[in-house]
Amino acid sequence: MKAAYFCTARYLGQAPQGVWPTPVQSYSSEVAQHSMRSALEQLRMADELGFDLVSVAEHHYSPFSLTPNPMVLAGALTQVVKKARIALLGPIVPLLNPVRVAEEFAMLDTLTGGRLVAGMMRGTPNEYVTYGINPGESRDRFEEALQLIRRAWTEPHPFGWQGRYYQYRAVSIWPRPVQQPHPPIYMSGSSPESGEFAAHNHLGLGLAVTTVPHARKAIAHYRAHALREGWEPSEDDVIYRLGVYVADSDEEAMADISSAPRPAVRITQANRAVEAAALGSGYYGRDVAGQLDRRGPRELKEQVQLGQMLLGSPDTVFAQIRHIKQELGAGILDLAMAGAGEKKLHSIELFGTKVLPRMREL
Amino acid sequence: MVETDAMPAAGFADRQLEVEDLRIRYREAGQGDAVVCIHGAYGMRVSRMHELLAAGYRVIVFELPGFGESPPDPAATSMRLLAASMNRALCALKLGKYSLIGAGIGAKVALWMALEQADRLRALVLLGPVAVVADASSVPITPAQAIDLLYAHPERQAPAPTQSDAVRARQEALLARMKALMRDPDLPSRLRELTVPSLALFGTKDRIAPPDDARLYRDLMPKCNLIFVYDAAHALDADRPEAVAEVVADFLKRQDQFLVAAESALIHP
Repeated sequence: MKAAYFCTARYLGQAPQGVWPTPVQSYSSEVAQHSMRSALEQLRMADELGFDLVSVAEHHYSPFSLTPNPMVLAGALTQVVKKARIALLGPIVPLLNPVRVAEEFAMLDTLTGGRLVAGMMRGTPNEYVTYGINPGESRDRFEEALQLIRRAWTEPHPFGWQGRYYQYRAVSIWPRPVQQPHPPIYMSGSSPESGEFAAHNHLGLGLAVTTVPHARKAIAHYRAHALREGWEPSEDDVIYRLGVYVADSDEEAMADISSAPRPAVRITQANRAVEAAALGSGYYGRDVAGQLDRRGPRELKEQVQLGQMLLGSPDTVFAQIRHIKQELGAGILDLAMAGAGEKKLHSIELFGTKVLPRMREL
Repeated sequence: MVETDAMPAAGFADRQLEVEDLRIRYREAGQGDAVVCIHGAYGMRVSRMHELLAAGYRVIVFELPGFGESPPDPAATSMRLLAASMNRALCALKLGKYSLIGAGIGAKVALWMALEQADRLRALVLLGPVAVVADASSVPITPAQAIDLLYAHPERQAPAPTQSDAVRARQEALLARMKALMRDPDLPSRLRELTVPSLALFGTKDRIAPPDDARLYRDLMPKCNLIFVYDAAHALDADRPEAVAEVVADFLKRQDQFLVAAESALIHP
């Protein structure tokens, strides 16, 4: 089993909580610079400890993440992370210019000598406010963009594209990806529609902001559809993202995390008007109840119980990982390290030295 | 599946002309510069794309000899000779300069027509061309086989008119003969001679002229522009008529300058 270190590059200073878009009156560029340096340091440390991948994502307009453009952070990582693969998990493709996305991925694959993992996401509904895109068109835009990106990577001659949402008269990207025919692609696959699309297009599946029961159902759906399409996903075709915090003992881990302030609602769901509009737009597809439930706020103990959070001593965390492996068959865990300051660094060290080597047994 | 004259498209008038004992049927609408359309293996079909083009052009949709109600051309023992017959029909129409659109195996006819009458052409457009193929067995022999492959969205198409058994049998024999004419070793080496502005469109879901075939055309016609039409199968003008008409109309008007966006992106003044 493999481990990815996921870093949001959180803003490490005082900022308004529970409001999105987040006002910037309290913003400090010194704090932001320190936050970026801290993120790069964590990711470098993860690489040195032997994490198989490092990962970054796209979030806008809040102190939760200083990576509205994960490609930029990934560009910095190409010079800092020397062994691990660099996974973009990932750009919110329906918001973006697909040709630009194809170009950026190709640049990153070239800069890393072929270590890129190309995650392509639909993102959360609030992100669609950012660039004025209708979340109801998210899925159609995503499907078309993905076909265009793959064509941009593989077509040997300049070509145009006459799509529904994207139109170009000439595409001929330089550089080209190092990995052939292209870097591995993952997409978020928590909804049944996404699982079907991933299966039909031979893509890897990423699951985030979910629980093990929801993920198990989504993975089973994906695998069943893949079999109908004539292929069988490997374990490494499934990435499961969750939180993690390791301390010297279970009690210390629980105390450290319980004492940290926890937001009442995820920042991505903080704007009720946006959430209501998203609900009415059709963004969630045919399994609205399931999509809302997997994102629902939960107390810490329930998060641990449902496999959203690994928490405890190294042995306890390893046992939790083994259980998740048995339940999901996922080959890659994408780990968002909780905690702050020195305790966070200690947690990274503990995970890297005492848990990660044992994950290879699974 | 091959359509008959039962439902002519809006605004298109049925016409015919006689050229050296050969009667050639066609449908025509619009005014302005002429755009001549050569259909594919599944018969003359006036689509929404043709209707949209007719807003700015004189669109002439020929029925190839032997298709539909048209008598066969016994002299057309090769695609090149069939193209020669069609060029004679165009001469009879006295169009002056014109643009040519060939669809499916009609693209092969159009390419020969272009080679033989290059000085009369403004532009050449190929829709899902089946003109230079590695494997002609991918072209279905029967309309029943074709129906599943023509459209990415058959649910959006008007129901096909019914055909008599005699017409169906004649179509299948004709398709078999057309497949034999696909073996055309002279054409690929001649394509480099074409200097007319050219555009080839491929539907991303086309399983008869798959999008990966685009490379063959670009290899043989280095200046040919390529466009992939998303979510369209072989009848890409029927699956995505507005998308195809827009880019084709722009290319007919501006040829290679169509690479540069001309429409304003201003949202509000």
